[in-house]
Formats: sequence, C-alpha cells, structure tokens
Amino acid sequence: MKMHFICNIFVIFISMICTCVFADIAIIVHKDNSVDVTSADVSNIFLGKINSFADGERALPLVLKRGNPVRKEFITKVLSRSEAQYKAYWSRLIFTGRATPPIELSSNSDVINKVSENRNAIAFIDASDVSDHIRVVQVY
Amino acid sequence: MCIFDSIQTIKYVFKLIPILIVYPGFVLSEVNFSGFLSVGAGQVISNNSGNNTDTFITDYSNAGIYEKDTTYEADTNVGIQIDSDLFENIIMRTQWVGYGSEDFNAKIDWLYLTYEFQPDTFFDIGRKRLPLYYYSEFFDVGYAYIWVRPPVDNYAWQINHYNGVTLRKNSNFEEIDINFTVYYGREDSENNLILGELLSSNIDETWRDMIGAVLSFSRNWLDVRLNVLNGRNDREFYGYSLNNNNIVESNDTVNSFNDLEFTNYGIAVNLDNDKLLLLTEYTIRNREQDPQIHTYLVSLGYKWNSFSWHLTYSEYKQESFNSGLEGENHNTRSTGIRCDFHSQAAVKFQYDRFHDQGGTQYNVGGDSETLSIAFDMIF
Repeated sequence: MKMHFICNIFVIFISMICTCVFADIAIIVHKDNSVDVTSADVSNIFLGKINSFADGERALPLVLKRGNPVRKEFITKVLSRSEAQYKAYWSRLIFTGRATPPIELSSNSDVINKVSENRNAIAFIDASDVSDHIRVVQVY
Repeated sequence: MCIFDSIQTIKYVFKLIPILIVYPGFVLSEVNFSGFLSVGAGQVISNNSGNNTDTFITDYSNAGIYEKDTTYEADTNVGIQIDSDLFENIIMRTQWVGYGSEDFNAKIDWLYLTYEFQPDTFFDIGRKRLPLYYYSEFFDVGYAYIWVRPPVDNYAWQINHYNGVTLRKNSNFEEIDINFTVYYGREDSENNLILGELLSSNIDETWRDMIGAVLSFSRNWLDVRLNVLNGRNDREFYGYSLNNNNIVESNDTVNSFNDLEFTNYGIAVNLDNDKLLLLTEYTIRNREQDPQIHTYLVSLGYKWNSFSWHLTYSEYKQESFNSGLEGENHNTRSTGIRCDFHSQAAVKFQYDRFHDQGGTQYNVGGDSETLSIAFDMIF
C-alpha cells in the first residue's frame, strides 16, 4: 500500500515535470517568403516595433490565443515577458494608435493554414507541427 | 486662423469618411474594436487645514478630484477604440472616452487618419493626445502602468490634445529601437475644466502653432525618451484679470493674455526588467512672462509573480515671480501595489501624501493624504 502511494507520488511528480518541459518553438513564414528573419526581427515584429520584413514587405504577425501553452512559452522565452506584461505593453501601443495587434488564432492548424495562404504572415507554432507548407526561419 | 482649429479638424475628418467610402478603391477590409475600463474609488483621509476642505487632484485635464468622502468618479473612465482599415496602408483610428468626473459624457480622445507611405513611416492627420510626457498618450489606460494614475505633479496640464498633423518613423539600429515623431497643431479649450476649477472662473485656453518632436530609444530593459514642444498660448478670463502676475477679481467680463510663447523640454529614462522598475521623468517648461517650471518623478518598483510594488516621488516646482510672489509648487509621495489577477485585468491600491506649498494664489488643493483603489482592465 505504501509502495503504491509512493509510485503514485512519483508519477504525479514526473507528470508535473513533463508539463514544464515544452517542445521547441518554430517561427514560420509562407514557403515562398525567402527573406532572412533574425531573432531581433521576430521580437520587433511581435512587439509591434516594426511591421515589415527586412525586404520591405509588410509583416502580418499571427499569435495563438491566450491560454495556449505554446503562446505562453513564446511570450516568456522569445519576448522575455509574462502574459500580463505582454498585454500591458500592447495596450500602450493599441490605445495610442502606434500599432495594430497581432491577429489571434485558436490552434496550431489554424496558424499553419493562415501562414500557408498569406505570403506576409509570420507566426509561431510547436516545432513538432512543422510541415512542408511553410518555411521555418527561427527555432527557439 | 489656423487650419487646425479643433472643431474644424474633426469636421474635416468626418467629412472625409463618406468621400472615402464611395471611392472606387475603398476596401473596408477589417474593423477592430478594443477598449479599456478603470473603476476607481478614493478618499482624502486627512488634511492640514482641519476643516475637511482640502482635496486631491488626480486628473488635471478632466478635473478628477478626491475629497473627504469616498467618491468613485476621479479615477474612473471607460474608452472604446475602433480601428478601421479604409484602404491598403490607410487606417482610421477613433477613441471615445467617458470620464466619471464628467458624468461619462463621451469625448473624442483620438480621431485621425494614418497613412503608412513607406514601411514603418506614417503620416497622421486629425485629433490626437499631446505627447508632452512619457505617459501622456495613455494616461487614461490604467492597465498600462503600475500606479493608480501617473504622478499628477508631472501631468498637471490643462491641455492634453492637439488637432493637426504628425509624422512618425520607426526603425532600429544594432538592436536599438528608434522612434521619431514630429507634429504640428493646436487645441482650443473653451471653458477649460481644471483652470475653471482652480480659479473659480470661466477660462478659454488655446495652445496654438504647436510644433513638437519626440525621439525615443529602447533596448531590452532600457527606454529613453526625449521631447520638445514649442507653441503659443492665448487665455481669456471671464471675471478675473491678471495684475502684475497676480490673479485678481475684476468686473471686466473678458480679460486675456495673448500670444505668449511657451517651450517644454523633457527627458524620461525607464529601466524595466523581470524584477525591478526604475521610472524617471524630468521636464522644464518656459512661458513668456512666467517663472520657469520644473516637474519630475522618480518611481522605484519591484515585481514578484503577479504583484508589483512601487515607491514614488513627484514634484511640480515653479520658480518665484519677479514680484516675489511664490508660484505653484507641490509634491507627492506615493506607495502602492498592483496585482495582475488576470492577464487582462489588474487591481491596485495606493496611498498618496500630497504637499501643497505654493503661493496662496496658486493653491491646488492643500495638503492631503489619500487612499485609493482601482480596478483596471482592457478588452
């Protein structure tokens, strides 16, 4: 009985660790978009500091909706902010008219579909969902 | 007569809309709605006069004021913003804000067309908030900052908008983000709220021929902002007059000063990392015939999990007049805590100790201690 309890605790512990270990995040663009996208570009585009790629073409950032673990990982790892800090930062841009916020989508598949349709799109997804329909420009 | 008369500019922008809509190339591809809400409550818990008449001004532009009884209007407002893509690279932005201190009568805070004629380069025409200080443009969006409201000693101005044109450029160099803005415009404020409140009179205030520039640099946790604004100030009093820089009662129905040149210089340096905040701002203001005004704020903050704490000092100091009369002079010590209990909402508590030490002609409420609470959200 005691061993069974310890095993349960161990399983719970391992599962908690697993929920904290995320897969890599891939930054993706349309497969025909051959522009170089640096880490600084990624940060600047998703923070509304610039709205075009290095070649001058407009960049259309797409993000997953709040609550998605990939979104949380992206905001933390790539943008170095918490969700609340990210929202507070964007509220300054939105309500002063300095930038238009990224379009929010519900799932990785929605993001992939949108990126594969729109040559200006840039987004982040779980790296394990990368397919031939899109081009990966950065992996975190 | 300047073409950027406030009412006229709004009318021009509104007139443009139907013309744009019937234009063959018109494509209203997307309309975004967003908004913000702040619900605040506060009370002056002690004052030095002993007669419970002292007040604490929280919002100069909209006459938000706390008194001895708990009130809910001073820090309460709601804003709705509509961003409409009219054409490729042309967006119309409109923001209405209703203030508790004005019975929530909606006012247009922003109404302008923005045209991105080159990547990251914009031309705007219409009505905007005046970028006098770091927080001026989003003063109403409580969710965007750590305090219940930005330190009012710095934000104690009677004019907060302009109608005119703006040129903006965003760029970056070696991981440094650079933003440059230059603007030109004017604002006419009939029966100005805060001047009327402080001087118990009807006052029309005009800032015209305003030309200003803002240059900001940011990299990681460092943010530096420089600004300058030059313009002309006209003021008409109804029932009061200026006599050797003293405001005195008068039987005249209209007295005025006209065409006084003013210039503001400001710098803000902010450090914001995962744990610590250091927010600083310093501004000098000169106006013809008036002593120089210095305003500054220093705010130190610490963040842990969903909580943020701040300790803040701000001051407004006007040098004495040539006649020896003391000018407006006040400071505020504040501390408060913010809790982000939701990714789009926060609650804040704040204690303010206000010291009003200016000349009697320039009293702005008297000494006071105030407690306030605010709920802020965006949607």
